Amino acid sequence: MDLANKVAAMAKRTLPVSGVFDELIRGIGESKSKSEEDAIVGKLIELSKQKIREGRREPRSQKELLVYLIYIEMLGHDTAWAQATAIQLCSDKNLAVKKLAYLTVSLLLDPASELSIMVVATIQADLRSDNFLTVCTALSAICHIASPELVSVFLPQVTALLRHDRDLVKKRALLAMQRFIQVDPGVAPDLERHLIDKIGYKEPSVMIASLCGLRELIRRDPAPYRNLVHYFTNILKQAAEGKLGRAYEYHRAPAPFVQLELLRLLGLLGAGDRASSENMYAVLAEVKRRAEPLGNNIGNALVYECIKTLTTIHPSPVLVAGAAESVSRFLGARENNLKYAGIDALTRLVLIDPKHAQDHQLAVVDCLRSPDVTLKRKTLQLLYKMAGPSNIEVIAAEVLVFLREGGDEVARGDAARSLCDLAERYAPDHRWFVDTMNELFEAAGEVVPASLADNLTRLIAEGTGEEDEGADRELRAGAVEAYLELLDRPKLPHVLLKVICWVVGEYGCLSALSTDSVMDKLAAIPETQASDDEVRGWAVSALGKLAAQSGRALTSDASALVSSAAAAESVQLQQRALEVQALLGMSAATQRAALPYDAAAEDVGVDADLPFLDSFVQQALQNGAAPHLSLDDRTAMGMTRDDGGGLGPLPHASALKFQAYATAPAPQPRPAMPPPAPAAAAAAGGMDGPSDLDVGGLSLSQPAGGAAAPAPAIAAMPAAQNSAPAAALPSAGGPQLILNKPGRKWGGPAVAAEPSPRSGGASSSVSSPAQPYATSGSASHSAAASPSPAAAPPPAVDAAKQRLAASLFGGGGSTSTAPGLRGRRSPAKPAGASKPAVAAPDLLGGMDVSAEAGAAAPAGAAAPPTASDMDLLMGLGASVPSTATASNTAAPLLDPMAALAGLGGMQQQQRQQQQQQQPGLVALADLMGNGAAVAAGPNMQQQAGAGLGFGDFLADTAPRQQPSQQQQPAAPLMGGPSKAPPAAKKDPFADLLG
Amino acid sequence: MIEFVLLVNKQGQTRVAKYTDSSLTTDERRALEAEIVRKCLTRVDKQCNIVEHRRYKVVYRRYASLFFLMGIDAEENELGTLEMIHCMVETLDKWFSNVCELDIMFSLDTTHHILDEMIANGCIVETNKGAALTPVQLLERAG
Repeated sequence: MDLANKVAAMAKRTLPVSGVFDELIRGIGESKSKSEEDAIVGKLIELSKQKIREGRREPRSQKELLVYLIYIEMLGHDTAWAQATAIQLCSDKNLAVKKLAYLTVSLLLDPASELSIMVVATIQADLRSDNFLTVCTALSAICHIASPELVSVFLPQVTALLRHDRDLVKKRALLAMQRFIQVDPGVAPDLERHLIDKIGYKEPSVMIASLCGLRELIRRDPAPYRNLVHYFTNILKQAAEGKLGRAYEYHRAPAPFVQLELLRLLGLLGAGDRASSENMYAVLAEVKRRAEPLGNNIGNALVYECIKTLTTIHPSPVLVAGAAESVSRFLGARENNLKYAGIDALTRLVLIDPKHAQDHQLAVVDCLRSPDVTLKRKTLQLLYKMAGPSNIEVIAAEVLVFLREGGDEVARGDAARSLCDLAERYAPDHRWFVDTMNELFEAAGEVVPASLADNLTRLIAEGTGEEDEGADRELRAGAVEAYLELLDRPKLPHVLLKVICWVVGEYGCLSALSTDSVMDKLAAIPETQASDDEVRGWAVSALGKLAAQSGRALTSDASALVSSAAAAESVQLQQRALEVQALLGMSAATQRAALPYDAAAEDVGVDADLPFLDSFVQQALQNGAAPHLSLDDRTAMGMTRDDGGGLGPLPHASALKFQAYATAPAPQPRPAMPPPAPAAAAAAGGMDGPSDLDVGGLSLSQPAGGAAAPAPAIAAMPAAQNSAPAAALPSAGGPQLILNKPGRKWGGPAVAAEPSPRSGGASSSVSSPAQPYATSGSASHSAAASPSPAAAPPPAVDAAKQRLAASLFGGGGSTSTAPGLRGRRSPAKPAGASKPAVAAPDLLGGMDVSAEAGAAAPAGAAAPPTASDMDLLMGLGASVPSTATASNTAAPLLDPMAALAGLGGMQQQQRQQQQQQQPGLVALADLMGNGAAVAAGPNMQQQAGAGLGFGDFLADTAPRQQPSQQQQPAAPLMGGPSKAPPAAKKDPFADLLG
Repeated sequence: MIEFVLLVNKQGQTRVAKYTDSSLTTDERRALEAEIVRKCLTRVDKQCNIVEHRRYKVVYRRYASLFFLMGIDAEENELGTLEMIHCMVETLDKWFSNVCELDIMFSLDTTHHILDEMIANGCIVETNKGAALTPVQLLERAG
């Protein structure tokens, strides 16, 4: 198509444009690269600034300016300089300019911006205008800029406008009210009556606007609005019968979008309320019956929404059976969109009755194997709902396959969390759980929540919770072997490396290998793996534990690692290494007392006040040391600073930071030292803490000395105290100190180093495994089932579809009776009773639900609502009761998910935690970077001839479902213009719209 | 809820962007748009017109060189949204008669106005094409 002709043809139907405007917009359209585009935006900015300076009054010039601004913002450039001008133009006399100015302001301004206040007076004046178009314009502007503070400003005028003669104004006023509820739910009680008043309004667009407003109210709390079900079913019935008029018809479906909205509202109202639900059954069946034969996209959308609704409300067996038939049709379709809807609908049906999954085994496996990520992800969600003890192994294998394929970080995070959740609930035995978690760490270590590592190590440390030492030992030995083997593989994720370090450090002596070879393996981690200082710290601690428990000296590799760590820049790592060195210099009895074997799950009693040091502190104070100030005190006194001190990449750097010290000449050792440990306050309050320095020297400068217990105790003291800086200890007087080299800032991360993992050592009784576990290790759990220590056989991933389907859906249900780990670990929880250790695969509480559903059946089928008043709608307005009464007739909440969620409080808490750990925004490549990447994509070639998009959009968009195109399922949406028959191009909708 | 409506061409250049949730900054929006378009472009015809991205389900439809995308939340009906996109395009087509990318670029304000008439506060508020275009027409005459 000739570009020039096209542009010329267009000029006549767009607003009158100047040559410059024409050229610039076309330039944007034709720019091929980000830099080209930026150049044009630069021109736009220059031109806009010039226009603002000139302050020309012609509407055309003003409109051009505003359009430029929209472009500048849309293409990602700053527009702060023009916001005041745009606001000013809102009060222009020309309505078109005014409308455009409001639009520009809504796009340019953040509603939180204080500038939006400047539009308020203009809007208020416009709301009083005699011209209804001006009023509508102002009302639309309210929808865009409303913020909680502004609601009360506009509310009286907007409410008054509901009595305007024009329907258009009424509609816009209702939408403004909806916006008010969205930004400030507190106004709902004032608006409720107005919205309900308009449900029965004769003009559909006003009625729809009131439905939108009510949706905001109902989704927040459906109970008070259950008495509206009657009206909604009536409107829905009329909409489905085409009574809203031909103009609302879309692809032969009468007012489908109104039907969708009403179905959604009914779903919200019927959820958990049997009486309301029963009043909906008849109309739901009717809507679905009418939508089925349409056979096009919109018909399917209606059927899909019906299924969503009838699976949300109290179920009717007849309707559910009908829904199952539709699901079969969806899943059998060739289009992936329908399969997607089918899988989603099936997921909902399975919650009502797990048997539905049985009918579609092969279709589900097909979707699971689909190269379409969206479909695959949806199918995995179905599997999560279907999971039980009988199929957990197969499902876990599928999830792991998905995780290994890579892809979207959010999707992988969801999958990893779901897998953790299911594995903890249904794991056949501990060994399987440990193995699965290891695989999970390997496949998706970067998206696994950190709490999972805690769970895993806790499980290994606590064992089965029975007094079966043999089984525990076997589990731990198995884990150690598995981990030592894993270490031979490269590129393990850090979270897994930490788990490995901890487990091997704690239970390395169970390995078949000699302690020395285990130490060497650990010592090799920094070389074989991409480890950071944190991982090295864990490795150092693990080596310390191994050496202390076995009573052997560190191997040469290991001691090399510890020595290098002792000179590390990371103060946390340095401290760990120095502690290990110090401890290993003590007598064997001290070592064993400090780091006993298998005591990770013991409770550690720490008196945070450390009373045994009182006399010591007293003495120091008498010697002139400054008293200790807590972190809060110091923050309040402004002794901390926020920017990083630059002490290496410590991930746990906290807020405790100090100004850099000027370097001092070396001959004066004391002032050149960094401020000493407990005397953090001394840094500000006149540094003078000789006794403190001595303490540091005492503990670490003579590690080989005979002072047995006190040394580690003191070393651990600052860490345990948490607010007292720990870093100075290793540095003070220590020859390894490299922190005070010239120009080096001595900053916060050092001081704020995380409490040492051996902080529990202060009590000299037990070793706590590592910081997260020390507190969580309550050893109280009674168990019921005996564990099966044998490793689970690897699931057959590559088996034929049938076998996979069988294992997913049917197989093994009768043999597996083992409840999940959680069930075993907390059998006393009441929820455990509601989820008996069933032998059938329907673990989802489905038994209860289907029983309920059965009871509900006759009632539902026999009691259709009295629908005879379907034509009464038009006169309903005034008679609608304004105060809603809850007609909740105590139908039991049937949501099986709730039953599931009730399985254990612990689990729920954990879910919440996991949800909080949603990854934040992902950083991204720039726009044209994509463009370039995209250009290589397969789609491009197809479209290569289409130029910059001058083809008619609709040329190839003749609706997918038109019978004439049924034969080429892949073609309709994306095909080139040539594919569409010319006839369809001319009037694609003529036959549809009549 | 419809969280956003985007028109982006196959080069990844945004042509129209409307967000219901206005908490995103300009930079975040650009980033989101680029991510989504990249995802959509890697998909082939046979795959479904739905992509899950961050917390959104993104329903997209391609018309010649232009992608129409809507980001929706869990409540919204994906198939219905897909048809809403088409309804929107039909309405634009009715206004511009044989709409194309340049029509939208030259009449950006009108396009915004039409979309505003059909979708407000994240809800579908008008699907009657005549009713959606009437205010636009009135305004055009008044201007």
